[in-house]
Amino acid sequence: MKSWLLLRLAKKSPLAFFLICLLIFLAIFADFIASPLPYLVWANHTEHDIPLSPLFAELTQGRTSSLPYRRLAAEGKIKALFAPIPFSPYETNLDEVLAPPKLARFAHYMGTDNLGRDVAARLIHGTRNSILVGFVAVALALILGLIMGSLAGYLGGFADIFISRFIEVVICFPTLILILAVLSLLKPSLLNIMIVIGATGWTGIARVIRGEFLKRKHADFVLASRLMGASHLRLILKHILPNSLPPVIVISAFGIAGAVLTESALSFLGIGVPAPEPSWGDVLKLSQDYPDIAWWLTIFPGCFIFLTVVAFNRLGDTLREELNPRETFKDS
Amino acid sequence: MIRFSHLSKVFPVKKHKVHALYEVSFDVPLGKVTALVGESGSGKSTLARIFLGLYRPTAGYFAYNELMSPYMTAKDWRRLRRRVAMVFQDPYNSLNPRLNVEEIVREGLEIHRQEFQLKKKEMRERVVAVLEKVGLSSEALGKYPHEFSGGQRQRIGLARALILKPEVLVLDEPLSALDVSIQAQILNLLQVLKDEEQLTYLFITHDLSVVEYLADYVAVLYAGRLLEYRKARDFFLSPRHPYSLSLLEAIPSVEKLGQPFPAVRGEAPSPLEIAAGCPFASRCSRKLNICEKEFPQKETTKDGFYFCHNPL
Repeated sequence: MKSWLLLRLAKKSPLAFFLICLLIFLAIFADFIASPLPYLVWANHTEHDIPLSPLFAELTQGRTSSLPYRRLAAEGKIKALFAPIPFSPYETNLDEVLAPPKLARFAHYMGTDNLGRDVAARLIHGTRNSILVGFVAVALALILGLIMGSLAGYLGGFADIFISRFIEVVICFPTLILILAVLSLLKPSLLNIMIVIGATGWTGIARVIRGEFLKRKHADFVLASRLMGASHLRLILKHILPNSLPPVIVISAFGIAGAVLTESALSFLGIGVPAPEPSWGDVLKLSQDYPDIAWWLTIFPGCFIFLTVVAFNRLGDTLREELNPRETFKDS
Repeated sequence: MIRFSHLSKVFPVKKHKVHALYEVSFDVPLGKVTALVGESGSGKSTLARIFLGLYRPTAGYFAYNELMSPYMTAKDWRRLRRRVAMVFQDPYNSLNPRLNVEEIVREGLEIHRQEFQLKKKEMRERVVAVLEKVGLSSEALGKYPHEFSGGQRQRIGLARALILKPEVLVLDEPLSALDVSIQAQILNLLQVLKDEEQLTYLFITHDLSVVEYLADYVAVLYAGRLLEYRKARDFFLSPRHPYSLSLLEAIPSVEKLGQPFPAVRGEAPSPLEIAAGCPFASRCSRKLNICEKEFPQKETTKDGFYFCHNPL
């Protein structure tokens, strides 16, 4: 049933599906897409003591080499196959500060930033951080939301009142301000950002789960299982929860988009992923300082964020249509 | 024998008290079909739910073999639940849409795993056997509820109820959500199963034509009170309570075609208070003065009993 769902999603909104696959691909293989080390070197190994594949040598054995491969290749001293973007996200070059985008061999396709770092490489490596924040924060919110919502809905009574009021208290905090406050106390690290976004984002999920539980805990099929002597855990995990998940899956898709956006906002404000780690918001932040000279610092990270948010929102919409219980569970 | 003794149930609803059941006593003989008849709100479902342990009675108790409701421990309830199963009215709401037929039917065995000590394969064999009993083939195992019609779903619900080889089956209007042609099939199936498995049925219904076909005993409930409890044959031939008569007259039949339908006038009394007299008095055509003042004494006949000041 799950694989069918993936197929249906791919069919129904191919563009969003493609974009999300692409993002995940970029996040996983960032090291292979943007790297100053060549995949393969097939001439003059011995002369410069170069391994056959410097990139794999570094990734597998941790053998870093500071050889200027690009220059050697440009001068024809070695023959090598480079990654599509032959730059590291951390590599500064003060000779090429704020260079505009240019399409040529060993040029910066998306320009450079104020330290001469390649924007394309930073964005692709930033994908990993941004997507990771999105997924982990939402996973955390899911865990919290499922537990709190299930407890409130299943137990009812005092537990329900207590948890519901607690949810309302959490909702009352302006999220971004709360995150700013917490991150100014904690060290801004990737993990802390995920935790804070997750810890403020669970309320919506909890509310929906609570509602679904209230609706379903008196369903006949739950009663049937209870009458046979099923434990509470069994009733929740086997009967109520699986039937309550579709709306939560939809919310989670929107939640990922929201978390990515929040992370970008935090980086933009300067308390996101700590430097020199790249992230989309971090690149975008630089555009504040050079709005009229470096348009590429605005456009490219903006596109990444925009497309990601649109793709995940579209995914959420499609999921909502596909998981509609009227179509899935009930025949006419 | 299942003995219901002086069962009462009051539901607190805001500031009011709803009397769902009031002083109901009768015995259900084992191996027979006892029909609980009455209109909605008469307390028939409440009675069944007390027996299943879903409600705790406000007063009174029930006794089933060695189990007596006020003294039952958690272990006793577990034992009762092994021996009593329920079939639901709505075949759409009573099967988990996320589980396939095998998982649905198997669940009882999983819950009482320690008692049975069955391997996966043995469980499957039992599931297949019980599916065959209710007229489904083993092809159904991997299918999901939405792939079945209402009648077939009701068969799955029956299989789920039978998997633990219960002694008593509580059937809560198992036919009323089905088409008439399907009703007949399920009714026949229930009849066969009862004899094969030596089951006791507690059959909740408002459809007297079904009762006539299946039941051995009939208990008529009205506004939380038991009005008449008789052997089914005698009940249909000579009902004693005027309410029972009006129920019988309300069975539609071809012979009565063209005649005006004998509807009972008026509304059922408010469940918020228990009337001092007979609850049916306000609608009864045979009402005496005493009817509104005093609930009648139990009158025993050779085949049951009834409560009426002015019986038929």
